[in-house]
Amino acid sequence: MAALLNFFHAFGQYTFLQNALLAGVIIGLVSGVIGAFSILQGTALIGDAMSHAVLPGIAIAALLGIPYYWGAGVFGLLAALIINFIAEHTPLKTDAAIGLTFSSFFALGTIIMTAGHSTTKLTDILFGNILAVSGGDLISSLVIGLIVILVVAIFYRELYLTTFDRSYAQAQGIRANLFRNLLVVMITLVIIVALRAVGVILVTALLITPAASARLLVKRFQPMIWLSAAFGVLSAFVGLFLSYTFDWPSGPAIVVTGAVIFILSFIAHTGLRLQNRHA
Amino acid sequence: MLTISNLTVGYEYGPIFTDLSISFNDNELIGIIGPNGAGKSTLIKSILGIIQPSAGDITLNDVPVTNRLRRDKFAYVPQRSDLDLDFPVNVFDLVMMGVLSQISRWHSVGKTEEALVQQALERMDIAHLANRSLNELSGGQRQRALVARALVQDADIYLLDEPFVGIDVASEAQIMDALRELRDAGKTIIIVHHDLSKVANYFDSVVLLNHGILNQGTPEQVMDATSLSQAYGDHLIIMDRHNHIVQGG
Repeated sequence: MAALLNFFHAFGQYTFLQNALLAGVIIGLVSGVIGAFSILQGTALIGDAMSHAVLPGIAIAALLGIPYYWGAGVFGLLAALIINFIAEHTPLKTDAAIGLTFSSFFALGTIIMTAGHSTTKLTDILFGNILAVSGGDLISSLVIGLIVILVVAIFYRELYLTTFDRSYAQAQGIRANLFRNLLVVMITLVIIVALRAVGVILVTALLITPAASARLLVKRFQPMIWLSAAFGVLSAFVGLFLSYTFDWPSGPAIVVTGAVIFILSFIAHTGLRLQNRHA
Repeated sequence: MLTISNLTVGYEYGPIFTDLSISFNDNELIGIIGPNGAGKSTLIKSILGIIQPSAGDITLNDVPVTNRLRRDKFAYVPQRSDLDLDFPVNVFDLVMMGVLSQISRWHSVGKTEEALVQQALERMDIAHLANRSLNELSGGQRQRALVARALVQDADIYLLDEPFVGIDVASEAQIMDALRELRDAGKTIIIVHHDLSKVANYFDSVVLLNHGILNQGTPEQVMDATSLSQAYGDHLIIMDRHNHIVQGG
């Protein structure tokens, strides 16, 4: 309790903590929302691949002195394109295409980063450092987050129907491929926003864990989105508190909090099922 | 009238149809029959835009079928096995999907839409299952929910892919009843079907398909031994009323 009061006190005092918390809320929200679509569509691992594949983009952006998110965005989408291309034009399955692409990109990024003597710290990119989020970063996160939420709000029905059943959506006159690709772009944006906080290795956790936890607790899609977003925000908040209080690295603290929420959801889910069976 | 002209559809390993042309009359219950792999589902998926044909035209009353026209005039009942049973939707949500693409994106779902869904649920006798998840239903109940989803759309053309596979007799009768009602209201219903025994009772006209149209006409015209053996080859045994083998085997 004292630790919590201490945290709130520090929150009132330090801008870096305010920035971190606000960034965390945005990240938790958008990753929860997009993650819900992604895990139901079965594209969770494409998000994983893309998050690792952004590394060369970040390295190149650092060398050129341009904001990291341009490089990250380009390379994330490039990886998604390559994965789709390999999966569609060769007998290889998507998982092989994913593994091949992200590990190659990741290795390339590490080489560029090391050889280029980049000033950006590799560990910050790998594991994130939400406490280093600047005012400028915060504004770009806010803008990107707003774009994601707006796109989902406007095209909710198309995204929902495409996620549920691509063929049915197409038969309803919806351009399902377009909306699947739109979701990939949204995943890229979420990755860009979340990179600063949790790093490329752990971004996937934010895209999958809150959505997966929510799926275990509810039976309808809209409540799942809301709950997933709430779990995302809660993970960011509690993770940040733990990071500040115990001096843990912020990214892993957020991800572990999400994992604990998942374990609790799993227990509740199992309990509910057993109860139903006996009822 | 729904008209398909010179349709060519191919997967990676060669064409399913080349230059297929056919018209479907309004106001009829039409059965598409043929052996497995004949391209029955491919034909209706091409009409619905799920599969992109490499050539050919599809028109409804001489108007080219576009995505917009599909949304307004076509309703689709996919194969039940294509459903993702783990998706977080209940029966009510599933049927509501039929309404969602029909209303403007700026118009939120309200009483009118809910009443439409309720009506369709009652028509298919599954109103009491509205809150069930898809994996809590029997095959027949699930199929009735899929038909209810098509009913909420005020379409002109209804396309159903194997709706009667593996469902109970009562569900089958109820679905058939709803489809006849639609036909009597002036709609066109096209059903991919594989159970030859019920063809004469179910359909006003029948299309016999095997990588092309082999025959089209009334059930009596199409269900003759020559056409059927042409379609099914040695895989079909035709018997008369007294269980005497007429042909095949």
